[in-house]
Amino acid sequence: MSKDLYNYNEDKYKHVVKLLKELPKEHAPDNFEYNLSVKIKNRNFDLNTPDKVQFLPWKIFAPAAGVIAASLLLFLTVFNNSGSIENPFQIQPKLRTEVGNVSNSSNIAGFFGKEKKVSETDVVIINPEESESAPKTDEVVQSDEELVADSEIEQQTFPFENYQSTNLDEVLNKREKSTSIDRRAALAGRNNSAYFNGFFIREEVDKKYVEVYKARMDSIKKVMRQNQKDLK
Amino acid sequence: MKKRLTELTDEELIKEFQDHNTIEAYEILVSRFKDPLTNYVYRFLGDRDICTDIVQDTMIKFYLHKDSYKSFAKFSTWIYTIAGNLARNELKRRKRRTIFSLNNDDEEKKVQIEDNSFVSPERSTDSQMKGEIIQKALLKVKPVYREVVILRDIEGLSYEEIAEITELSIGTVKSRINRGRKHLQELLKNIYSG
Repeated sequence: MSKDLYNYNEDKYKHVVKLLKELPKEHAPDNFEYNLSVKIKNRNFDLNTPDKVQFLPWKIFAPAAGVIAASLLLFLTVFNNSGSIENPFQIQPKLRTEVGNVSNSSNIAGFFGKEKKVSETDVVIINPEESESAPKTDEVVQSDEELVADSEIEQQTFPFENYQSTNLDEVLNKREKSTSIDRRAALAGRNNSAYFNGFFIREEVDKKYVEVYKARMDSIKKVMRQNQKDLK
Repeated sequence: MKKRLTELTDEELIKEFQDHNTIEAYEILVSRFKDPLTNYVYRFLGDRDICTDIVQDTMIKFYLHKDSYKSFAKFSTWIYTIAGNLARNELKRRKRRTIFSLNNDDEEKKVQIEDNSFVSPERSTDSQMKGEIIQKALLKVKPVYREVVILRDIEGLSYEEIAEITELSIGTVKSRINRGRKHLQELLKNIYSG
C-alpha cells in the first residue's frame, strides 16, 4: 500500500493527522479465523446484507385510500353544493354597461326625450262644476307634462346618463317650461308626500300685506344705513 | 508449498485461490487483512462486536465470490470495498433501527460508547483516554468524510486507492478528506492544544 502520494493540505491539519496515526490499532479477536472456518464449513452464510424490501400492501393501499377519500370529500363539499349555495368568489362581476342599462331603465329613462307614460288615473282635472265651493283661481289643472316634470323632480337626482351625450340646453329649457306653481306643488308634495293627493290650492297674496311688509323693510334698511353712517 | 505461498503478493495469492482453489492462499490473505479491516470497520462504526461480524462477512464474501475479483485491480482495494460496503449497510440499518424502533436497543450501546465519566483502572492511561476521545470525535464526523479520513490517515492508503475503494474521483476524495479533517480539528481542539 503506497502512502502519501499527495501533500494536500497535510501541514494545515498535521496535528489531526498525527493524532489519527497515533491511534492504537484494533485487532481481530484470536478466534477470528476459527469462527470463520466454522462458518464456511457449516455453510452458515448469514451475510450482513441490507434488509430486503418487503412488499407490504398496506404501504401502497393506505395512502391510495387516503387520497381517494380526500378527493371524494372535496367533490361532495365543493361540487355538490354549488347549485344551492352561491360561492361569492365565483360570481362574475356585473359589467358596467349592464349597470348603466339598469339605471337607465329605472330612473333616467324618461328624462331625455323618452316621455314617461302617464296613465289616465294620474291626470286629474278639476272642473269648476265638480267643485263649486272652490274659487276659479284655485282651479288646478295638471297636464301630462306637469306630472312628468313633478315625478322627474321627485325621482331624478342626477339627470345625466353615464354613457350618452346630453344636450344641456334642451334639458334646461325643458325644466324652465315647468311653471313656478309646478315647482311649488312639487316642493309641497315632497315635504308632505304621504298626504299629497295631487291637488293644490293656489293662494292669492294680499297686496296690502305686501306693501306693509315692503314699507317695513325699507324703514329697517334706512335705519341700518343711518347707523352705518353714524358709526363711520 | 506453504512457505512459498507466504512469500507471494496479495494478487498472486488470490490468483492461486481462484485458479486452484488453494485454501492456504485464502487463509494467508485472511490473516493479512483481518487486522487492518477490523481497525477500519471499528473506526468507522465504533462497535467492536459488530466490526468483527462485518469483517467475517467480508471474508465469507471474498470466499464465495472470489471470481468476481479482476486481476487489474489491487486486492487490497477490492477487499476494502467489500468491507466498506458492508459497514455502510450496517450504518444504514442502525439509522433505520433508531428511527423506527420504539425500544431503541442501540441506545445502551451508544451510551456505552459515549460515556467518558468512568474509565477502568487498566485503561486509564493517557493514550487510551486520548484514543477514546478521538474515536468519539471520529464518530461525530459525517460518514462520507469519516470513511475517507480513516482510509487515509489511519489505514494509510493512497488517494488513488481511496478513490478506487469509494468509487469517487481523486478531487472529491481530497476535498472530503479535508472537510473531515477540518471537522475533526474543531472537535479535537482541546487535545492537541493542551
